[in-house]
Amino acid sequence: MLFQRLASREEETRRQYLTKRVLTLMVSVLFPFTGVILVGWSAGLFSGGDVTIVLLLDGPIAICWWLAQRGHWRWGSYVAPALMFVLGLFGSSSGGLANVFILFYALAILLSGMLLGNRLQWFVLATALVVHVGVGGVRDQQSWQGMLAIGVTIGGAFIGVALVQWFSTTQLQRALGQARAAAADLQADVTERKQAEAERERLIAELAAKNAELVRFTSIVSHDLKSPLITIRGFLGFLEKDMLAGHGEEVRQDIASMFQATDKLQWMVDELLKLSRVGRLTDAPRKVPFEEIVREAVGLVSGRIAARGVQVDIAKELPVVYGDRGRLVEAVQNLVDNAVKFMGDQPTPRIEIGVQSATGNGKPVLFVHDNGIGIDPQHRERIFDPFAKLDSKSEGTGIGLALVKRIIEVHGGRIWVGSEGAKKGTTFYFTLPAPDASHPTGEKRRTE
Amino acid sequence: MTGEPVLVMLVEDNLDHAELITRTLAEHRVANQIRHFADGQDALDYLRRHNQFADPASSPRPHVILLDLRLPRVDGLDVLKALKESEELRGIPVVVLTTSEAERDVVRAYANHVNSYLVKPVGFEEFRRLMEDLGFYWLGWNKHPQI
Repeated sequence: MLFQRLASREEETRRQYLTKRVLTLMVSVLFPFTGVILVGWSAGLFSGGDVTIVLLLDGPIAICWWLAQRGHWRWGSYVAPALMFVLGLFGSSSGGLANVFILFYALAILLSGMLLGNRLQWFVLATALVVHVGVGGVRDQQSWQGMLAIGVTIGGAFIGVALVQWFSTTQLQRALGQARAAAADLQADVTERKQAEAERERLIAELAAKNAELVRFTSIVSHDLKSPLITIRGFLGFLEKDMLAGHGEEVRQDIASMFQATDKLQWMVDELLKLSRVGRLTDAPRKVPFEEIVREAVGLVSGRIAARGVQVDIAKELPVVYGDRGRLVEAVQNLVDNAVKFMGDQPTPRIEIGVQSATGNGKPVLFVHDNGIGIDPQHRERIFDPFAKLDSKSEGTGIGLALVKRIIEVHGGRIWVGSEGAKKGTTFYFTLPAPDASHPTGEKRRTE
Repeated sequence: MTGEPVLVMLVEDNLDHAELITRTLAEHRVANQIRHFADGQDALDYLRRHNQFADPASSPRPHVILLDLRLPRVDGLDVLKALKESEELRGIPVVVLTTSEAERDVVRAYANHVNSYLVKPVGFEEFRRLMEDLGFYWLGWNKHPQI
């Protein structure tokens, strides 16, 4: 599309350029010849003996000039004034003042040609011719033809110069305008393309990250799902042997192990289903005061909180967030539940829910802090894996934190964990979209 | 095989799997003793002779370590790394025995100088055969240094 535009613009410019060339040619040919004819006419008709020299010299002056102007003969613009000089010496029958003018103008032409370039020479040459013819004609003959010659030549000269100037400047301006427009178009196109490229890069990176997460997730899940299967198949093998050998107690144990393994498998499948449902809406995304979410979530865990004697402090100035209320309650509930579960032997268990000052991108950072067993820095990534079990003595995190992470991410937020280390408490930090921000929730949901 | 007692160190957090391994290995009578540790930290404490494992007489060096990858407290790969970084312990053959077939885990295990990487088969017969082969190979055929 851009190239089509550029091609049509080029065609247009080419047409305008040709028009300009034709007009310039006409002006540059007609003007000197008009001058020559007028000069010859006035001089030839009224100055008798000078006619031959004037005609002989005015013709070559015009030709030299024309050749120089057309770019065929560079020296033309110097030879023409030189001939003017000669004309000045011989062209006027009475000499005197006219010759001084001619001399002066011939030198001016030479200097201007050398210093300023050809366009000014046009003007100077025209003026020189006018002065030469006019002064000579008027002084010698005092005739109306001489006056006419002066008028026509001056007019012609100025019109010619003006036309040339006008064409070149308007053409230049138009060309410049077009070039600017083309550049602006190009710039817009480039900006557009750059934005598209940046967007594409961002999407590719996002997809790569999602894919890596998926690979990791499936690897973890398949590992975890396989584990009870190995147990069941293994103990089935033992069961057969023990039955054949008549080992009643062992048979009972084998069956118990298999039951446990099937229970575990059932639990895992249920948890995974929960995780897969995160993308589905429970409530339409809307503005919700975060405090409302926190109060409901804490209410849902109140049994465990009371049983462990945990003090829960909720900050007063919590922001309003935008999202699926039900899912956000689920996320906070899991975080609080997790905090209660990993209190360890803390004598004064305490959970604090609050907000930190906004991050660089303006999103407030919410947090759930506890003073429980803490988390070893090496487990900071693993903690969000499904079924991660960081401590052999605890029940394991199951799917809880993986679920929280997924809910936060589906809302376009981010979650990370901070801990001073084992036994020093844990803080989960997360961001959620503010009500006035763009709302990725709806968009993402559509794709899931 | 020499007359010295053959010790297998099993680091496995899944108690059912630990029992499966112990029982199938015992069937083939390749090991005199199997010591089971349910997490990475305990296993490292034993090998480094820390805390309750300080006495070398009661904490003999294993002939082979069967190591699961996903372990509580200290992860299997971190246990492996710690072992292979220790001049004293790196001579002990470490066999990763896990359910994970992920290429990432295999690559990382070998990057940390694992001696062998085995995936637990789901079928009971395959499991038994693997334990038999593993026992005969690492405890029978394989020559290991005196540590």
